[in-house]
Order: sequence, then structure tokens, then C-alpha cells
Amino acid sequence: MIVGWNWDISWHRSIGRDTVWTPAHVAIYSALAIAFAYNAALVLGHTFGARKGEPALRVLGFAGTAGAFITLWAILLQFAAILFDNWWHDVYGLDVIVFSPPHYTLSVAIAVFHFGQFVVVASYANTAPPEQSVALRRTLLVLWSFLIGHQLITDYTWGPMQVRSVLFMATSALFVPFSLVMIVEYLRSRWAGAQAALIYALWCVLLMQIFQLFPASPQFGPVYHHIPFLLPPPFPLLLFIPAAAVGAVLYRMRSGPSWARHLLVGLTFLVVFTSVNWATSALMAGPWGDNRFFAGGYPSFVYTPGYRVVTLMALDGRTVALAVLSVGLAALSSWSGVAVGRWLRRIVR
Amino acid sequence: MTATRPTGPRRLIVVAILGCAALSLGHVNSPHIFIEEPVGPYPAVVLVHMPPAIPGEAELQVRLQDLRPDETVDVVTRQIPPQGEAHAPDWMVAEPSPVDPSFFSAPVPLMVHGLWQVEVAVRGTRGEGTTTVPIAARMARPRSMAVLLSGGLAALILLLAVTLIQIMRDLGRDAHRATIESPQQRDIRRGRRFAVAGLLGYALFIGFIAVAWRDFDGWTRFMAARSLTCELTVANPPATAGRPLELTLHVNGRNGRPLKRAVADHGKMMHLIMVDRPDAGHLLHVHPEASSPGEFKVRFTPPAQGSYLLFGDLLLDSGEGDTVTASLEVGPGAPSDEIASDVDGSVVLHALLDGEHLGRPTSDVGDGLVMQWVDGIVPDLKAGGFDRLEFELTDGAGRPMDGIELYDGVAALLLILREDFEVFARVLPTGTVAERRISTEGSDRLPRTASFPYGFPQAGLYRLWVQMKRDGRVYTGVFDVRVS
Repeated sequence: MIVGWNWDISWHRSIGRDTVWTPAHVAIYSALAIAFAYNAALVLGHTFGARKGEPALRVLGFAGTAGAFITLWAILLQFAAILFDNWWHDVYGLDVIVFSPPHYTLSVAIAVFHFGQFVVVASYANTAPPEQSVALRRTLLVLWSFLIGHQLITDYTWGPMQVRSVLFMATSALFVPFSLVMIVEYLRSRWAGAQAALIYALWCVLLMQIFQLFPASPQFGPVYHHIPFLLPPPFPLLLFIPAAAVGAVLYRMRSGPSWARHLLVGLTFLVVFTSVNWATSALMAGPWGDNRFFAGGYPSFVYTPGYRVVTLMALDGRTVALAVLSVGLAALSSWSGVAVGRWLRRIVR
Repeated sequence: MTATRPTGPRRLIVVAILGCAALSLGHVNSPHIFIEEPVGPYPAVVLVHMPPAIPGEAELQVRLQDLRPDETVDVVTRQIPPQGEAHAPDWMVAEPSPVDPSFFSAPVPLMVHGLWQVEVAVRGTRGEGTTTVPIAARMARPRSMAVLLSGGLAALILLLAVTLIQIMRDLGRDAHRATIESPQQRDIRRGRRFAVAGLLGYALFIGFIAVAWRDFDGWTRFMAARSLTCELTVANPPATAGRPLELTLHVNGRNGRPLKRAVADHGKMMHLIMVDRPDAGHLLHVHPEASSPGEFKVRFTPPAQGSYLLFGDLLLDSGEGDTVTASLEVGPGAPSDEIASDVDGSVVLHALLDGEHLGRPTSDVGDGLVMQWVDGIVPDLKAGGFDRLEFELTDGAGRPMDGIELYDGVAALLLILREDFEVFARVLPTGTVAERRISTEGSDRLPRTASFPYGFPQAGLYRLWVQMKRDGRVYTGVFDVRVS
């Protein structure tokens, strides 16, 4: 799924919109089909098969595991989003805006899908024998890195300076701390967030280098850049640095009041995240970033003149107000991460 | 439409104002492009099926007319965006049809609004040639969602809500319990809290999507409405039948200011077609003169009382055609069955859209002459396809007449109107694109057969007017056809 979506975005950016049966689309459909088959089998097994009578959730008369139902619900939401998206393209045009209502819906559906897959493994890991714990822990970290990557890709695709925008600060504060804190709380490891974030960075770099090996030429005009290969995803955010800081604060503040703990996590996240992004964006937008490894010099789309224009942070009242709001959002996000992490530890069905 | 009553014979009054829809290349709701002309040594028909919205992907089709089975031909295309040739993608090979080697097709992605130029090159054993097709990519007014799809999506939204409530309830109540014993009261309460939270989140999300959709739709409708607008005034009211009228059409550009970019199309600044509603019994074809930027004046005599819909075809200096529409109310007067001398085109009387002409292959045009479908056969017409509509002017015995003269700079003219007046097209023998001319080199006579490349965009009952000129007089044949 994560390869398919990155591939598809790259296809759109490099070549343009193509038929329904591009390799990238086939990868996505295949992932959906496999996930549907596996999770449907889980449900059918609990409803009619060998696992009938075991503890399970019940939805519309069917029995199944929590992860299976969450994943199937996400697939249904994706199906609705794709129907909506096809109609949208017919009526308003192809990719007329990236952040369209059907794309929002699709994005949420994919996030829920990744979460559902995590829950499938988590519910198994919670009751698995200790000798499987290392393998399951690694699997969970990889699965969680997919969700982190999905969260970031929707906002980060459009250029290195995007991370300096005030809007990115606020949206990241709302969603990213949840991911970092949840995995820390669930796995009871202060470095789990950093590990998942590092895995995200590694597969992102891997995809970047692989994509650039494949030739591609723009077939949509107006063409502003003649780049003869698939445009890579943007260089990953160095999220493992703020993740490590968040994990450290979370553990150091274990005994303190909950509100202070999350407020400090929020503040730490915002300061470290923004500082790291500021530094990496300077690297990406400068001459050091203009190469195949960092891919900082590539455009967002070949048929647009440059990157998406964003309002960058300035030291003014609006930025300060949004920063204060973002600390609050990050604290809320951290709190919900802890709550979901604790709840996930207890899941057995 | 707004209207005011005349307040004095010498005062300029507004008779009708119509905001004009976004229209393409001199047509109303007939967006596809048809061109018939030689591409180098190859006679060809070039079709562009426009997408329903921009950005979107049009489909280019090239039909080579007389390709021999042993000939090898390559067709390549290139889209030049409004930003210019420097931003054009590379040439793309058009794919030949597996069943018909003379038929080629290629996608034409139109990613921005504006006037695109699509170059089509044909290379083969006879030589090579290139033609350019202008494509106006305009923002379309959004269409409503089909009932089936909206019903399906509503059902999915409901199903998602119901299943989400159940999943969230069980996640809170049962997911942590390893045994199948009944849940305790606190589990049930937690399950309810989860369900409420899930439903609340879902409702917020659906609300957010609905608001974002509404805002985007409103913006699109606003942008789509920014087209040429037309205001019609009568200098010598009242407008009554049989009395010469002095009309002025005030045309504003998309910036709301008087249109300055109009140029002559086949020698005329505007081709104005007037048809009475709802019968389409009267057709008037006149040519207003440009008196000042955005002002087009014409003097003509309405033949009968009624409500007339006006279609004004304009050519802009960019090469883009456009059509403005307006309406004119004509009061009772002294109706005349005679063709008014001040009408460049012609008037056809009492030919109602009542089925009398439906399927009839011939049309009496006066002076003992008959306009007819070639071979007297009305073709089977289907929406969404391509047709070559062929007519000829004959004597009473069915013999084609020589001596056809140029009319509006072309050998013949075809006007197409659907029964509901929602589809209108002015088609030339070269197709639907303005200012394209067929060379008459090597021949001192115009062809006796008028052939028009066209494809009906939608099904329905259509009226076709075919106009040809001979001995200084314009003859108009009327044909009604049903397109399935």
C-alpha cells in the first residue's frame, strides 16, 4: 500500500494522470485486495469457520477481530472515496486541487487502514508467547512507520520549504505527536517512536533512490521541467530526532501530573520538530540538496512552475498565536496517543 | 433575463439581457471538435472529444480518408499549452486502431484553462503534412450527481455510520475481554462512550467534507460563469412583426468590459442566428456590423410575432470561437411570409418542430428547387459518434444543381438546433472550427454536394437547416432528425 501510493504520487508528478491500470494503481489495488481477502477471511473464520465461538467483536451479525473490522471499514471508506473521486474528476477536473474532499476522505481511509493493520498484529502480539515478541515488535514498528509516513506525505510532498509554513506546524502538531507517543506507550519503550520514525526515513530514502532509476517523461502540458525519470518522494523528515526527544520527556515525566506531562511533550515536539525542519529545509533548498540523494531541487509537478506557494513562518503575532495553539494541539495529540496506546495493550480480540 | 417596457419611441431600451454560458468554438453544448481537411497529402477527418471538465483528458481521433491497405502511415501529435510552445510535451505517437488501420487516436491532456493548439502530423509514403487544431479549454459549470450515484454514496455513508457505531461499541465494550462472558455494566458504558465518540467524529468529518465541497463548488460555479455576456437593445422600439428593427448587441468580455478582441470570421464580425421559440419555425441569419468595441449593430425585419432566441457567433483574435446568446420578444404586427430583403440569410416559414418533417429526406426550398440528403436517404444518427452529413441542391427531378456560390465564404452552411434549444451548432464543410478554408485550387466550381463533419453530442430531436447559395439567392432546407 505504502509503495503503491508513493509510486502513484510520483507517477502523477512525473508523467501526469494516466489510465486506471497504471502499475502504481495495480499495486494499490493489489494491496487492497490482499488486505480485504485476509481480513475477510479472519471475519469469516470467526463467523462460520474454525474460530467460531471464540471471543470476537460482532458487526452486522459477523464476528471478527478488532483489526479486521477496522481494516474492512477503512476499505469500505476507500471504496466510497474512490467513487466520489471519480465523479469529482468528471465534474471538476483531474487533480484540479490536491486537497479535495474525496482526497481528504481517501487520506483518512488510508490512515485508518494502516491503523487497522497495526491493530490486527497488536491484538495477536498481546497474547503471543514471549519467543515471538521480538519479531512482532519489529513488525509493529514497521507497520507504524507506514502510518507515520502516510501522515507526513499528505502535507510534505509539495516542497522543502513547506515545512516552514505555519499551517504545517499546526497540522503536524495535531497528528504527529499522537503517532510518536502511541507507539512509545504501547510498546513501553521510550525509543519506540524514534525507531518507527527511523524506519519511515529509511524506506522513504530507499523509495527515493529506486524511483529515480525508472525513466519517465511528462505527457501533460504545460511542461516546466524536463526530468527524465520518476520524480522521487521528498526527502523524509528527520522525525526520529523529535521522536527521541518526545520519548525521553514522556519517560522522564512519568510521575508528574498528566496535563503538565503532555504540555511539555507538546512543547518539546514543537520546538525540536520545527528546529530540525528549519535546518533540513535549508539544506534541501540550497545547493547541497540539489542531487539525487536529497532530491531537493525537484519540482512538485512537472506541469507547475515550482513548489506550492505557502505562507512561511515569520516572527509575528499570527505565528506566535499559532505556535501557542500548536502546543495545545500537540499536548492533546500526545494525551490521545497515551490513551490509545494503553487501550491497545489490552486488546485481545 | 430582465426586461423593461419601452418608455418612448426614441429612447434606447433594454429588451433582453442574458448571461451567456461558457460556450466553445461557436457552439452551445456541442463541445466536440470536428475538422475535415487534408493533412499534407492525406485527406483526413480530425475529431477531438472534449472531456467533461478541465483539467481533463480529451481524445484526439484522426481518420485518414483514402488510405490504401498497402500504405504505411505514422500519426504523431503534440499539445501546445496556452503558455506556449516552450512548455509543450514531446510528440506522442497516435495509436492505430487494431481493426481499422486508417483510424488513429491519442489522449490530449488539458491541464490548464486557455486556448491550446494540438498539432497533428501525418507521415507516410505519400509525404507528410501537419495541421493544427485549436482547443478552448474552459471551466465547465459543475453538473449534479446522478441519482444512482448519490443514492449509492448515501447508502455507503449510512452503512459506514452503522458499522462504525458497532465497531466502536465493541472496541470499548468487548475488545479487551478474553472470555465470552457477558460484559459488565462498566464495559457497556465504555462501549457506549466509544460509540458516541466514533459517531461524533464521523459526523464532524462528514460535515467538514460537505463544507469543503460546498465551498469548492461555489468557487467553480463563480469561475465558470465568467464568460462573454451579451445585452440586447432596440434603438427603435417597439419590436413588432413586419417592422424593421435596429438592434445592438453589447458584448462584454470575461473581464466585464466591452469586447475588443473580436475579428472577422469568413468576412463577418458576427454571425447572428435567430430562431423563434418553441416551434423553431422561423430562422433568420443576419450579420451585425461592429460599430465600436463590443457593439454589434444590425437592422432586420422580424417576420412574425414571438419569442426569438439569438445565437451570435464570434471569433476572437486568439483564434478561439465563442457564442453569445440573447432573447428578443417581438410583438404582434403585420406578419409577412416574404423573405425580408434586409436579411442576409433566410426565413423559413411554418416549418414547425411537430414531427411533420421528421425523417423526411427532402425539403422544398422555392424556385422549383429541392434540398435533399444525398441519395435521398436519411442516415441513422447516434449521439456521441461521428457522422458526415451530406446534402445537395437539386432540381425537381432530383438532379444536383451546378452553379453553387460561396455563402458566408463557404460552399454551404449547416445549422443544428435541438428541440429544447439547449444544443446549437454552426457547422461548415470544414467542420466546427472557425476560419478554416478548403482550397478550391484546380477547380472553378464549388462541389454540388455539401458535406459536414459532425457528431451529435446528445440524443434527441434535432432540426437541421442547410443553407446554399445559387444565382445570388440563399436556399435553406429544413430537416428534422431523431438522434438515438
